[in-house]
Amino acid sequence: MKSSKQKNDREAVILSPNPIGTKDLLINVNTTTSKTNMEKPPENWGIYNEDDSKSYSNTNLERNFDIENAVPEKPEEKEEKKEEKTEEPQQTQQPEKEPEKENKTKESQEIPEERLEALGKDIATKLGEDRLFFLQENTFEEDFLKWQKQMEALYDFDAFKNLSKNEQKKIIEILENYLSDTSETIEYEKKYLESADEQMKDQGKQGLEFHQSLQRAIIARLQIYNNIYQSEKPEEKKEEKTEESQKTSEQQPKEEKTPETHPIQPPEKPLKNIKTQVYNLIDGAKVVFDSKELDPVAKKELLDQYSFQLAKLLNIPFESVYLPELITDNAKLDQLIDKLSTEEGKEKPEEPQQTPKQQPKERPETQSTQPPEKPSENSVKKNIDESRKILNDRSLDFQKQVELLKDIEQYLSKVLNLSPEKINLRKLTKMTPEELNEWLNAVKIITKPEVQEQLNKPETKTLLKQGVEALQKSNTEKHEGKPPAWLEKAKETAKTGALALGAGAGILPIIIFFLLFFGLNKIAGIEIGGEGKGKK
Amino acid sequence: MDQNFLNLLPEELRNMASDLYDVILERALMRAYQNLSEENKAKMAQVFASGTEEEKINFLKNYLGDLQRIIIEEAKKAAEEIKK
Repeated sequence: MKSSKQKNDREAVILSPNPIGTKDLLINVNTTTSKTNMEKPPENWGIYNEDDSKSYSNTNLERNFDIENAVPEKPEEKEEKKEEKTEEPQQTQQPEKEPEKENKTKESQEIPEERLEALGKDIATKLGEDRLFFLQENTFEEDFLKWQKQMEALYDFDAFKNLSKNEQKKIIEILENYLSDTSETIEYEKKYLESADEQMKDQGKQGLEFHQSLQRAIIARLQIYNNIYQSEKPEEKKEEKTEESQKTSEQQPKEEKTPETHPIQPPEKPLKNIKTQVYNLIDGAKVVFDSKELDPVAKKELLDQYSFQLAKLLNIPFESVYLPELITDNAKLDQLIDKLSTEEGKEKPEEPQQTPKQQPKERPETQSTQPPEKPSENSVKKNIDESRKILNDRSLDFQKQVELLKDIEQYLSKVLNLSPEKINLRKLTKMTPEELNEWLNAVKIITKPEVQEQLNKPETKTLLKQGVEALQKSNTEKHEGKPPAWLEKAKETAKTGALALGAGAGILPIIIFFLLFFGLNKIAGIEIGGEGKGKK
Repeated sequence: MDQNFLNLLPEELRNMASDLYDVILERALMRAYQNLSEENKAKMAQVFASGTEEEKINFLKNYLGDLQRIIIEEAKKAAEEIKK
């Protein structure tokens, strides 16, 4: 089914567990067609191959499924098609205008199989596009919100609903074929994903967040498809589906931890959904919990979010969720699940996770607070803010304070590539935002290997010492040993009165001096302009 | 000199960086002073001899507004001078 070209272009995503009947389902979708206006994702991101080297255009978020016009097409033609779609959004919404009428005619006039095939492919491709969306270097919150909105819009998925049942079934089959037809290349994918996972762990927060967001996004979307299909599907077809799902899951390489949650059986669906989501949340929380690389502040936030989601899902107080216990103690988790089973049917006043419409809202709630990001300046600043809070928190005992600050110090040391003794958190917390920016800029430059090499050369000290002495001598000669009376005081004010000179007034000249002195003024990312131009 | 910045440097270079900044700042202040009118030169002498801290800061802000640019230029000059 897959050509070698497809293999190369393939995007792979691991889901664990997924809602359509298989665990650790490997999704293969060819995304060659969606790579317009793409920017290169950060090189150090875990899952990244050459084909991702163009970014996912945000306009894809406004996509529609053009059923009427969905015909099989060559990859190179598809790009043009997408542009047309963006230009003519009215056309794509035609099926939504007269759903009733359409439905009736569709029962008798089935959409040609090739169009359904194309639509199925399109949906599968869009799942891959979500992956590209999360691969973007800068996934800002507004993009994320836009994506969430799109998810909600997709949930209604009128175009899909307006299809006849047979057509829906066909689409889902095509989709599932695309999503689960991985048997040929499963070993290849496994290795690829394992190494990607490893790399992501090495990348710390950025990789983990990306991974989690991606998983949630894809799982949520699959749930949408699945729920729509289940809600429209006749009973007998569902049984057939269950068999198919079980069949598919047999093809999967990894053992199912909770196999009983996957075969889809309508009467138990709400509980199964909750169970699946509980397992999903616990799996996600475990990754965060076990991570030694993760930014401590982000780690705490993420775990809180997981606890919050879990509490909401189980309709229990947030405080009663103790994640470390649930993660490490399977018995406790089973107890919780059993409790859910026994309470099934008793009271379900609120079932936000079970109502298809609300599912996408739930997941993005977590996602929106953690767009994938590099261990960026923001993360550093956030940790410094947190340190400030810790230092000001009088309810903390000294020992606890030291421990928490040490955690942050270690994290900063890692992401800034500085030894911990070079980070004085107490002093950093006293910096103004501008000063902190200057300091971070200085860190970026000083930690560059070329600069470090020069700074640590034994002869550097001697040369600099001689140089500074020569400059001092020259200064003395200029005022003939009699400096003006105001000079010392003016120097003092200029040094201490940061407000007068601007943040980082003392840092920038020294960095510029060093870079010029070492002949490193052209190192990557830094360029010292001519006289008066300053550092860029 | 900002201690957080100095901490980024190898220990044996910290004092030197501090001295270096001192020299550069001195040169920049002298140059900025030369650019002032005679009247303002006198004012500067007076403010830094007997003015309050606030007056000193205000003087730097108001009369030596381009001091930071001059400092950077002097840093560049100093590096070139030493390299010779």
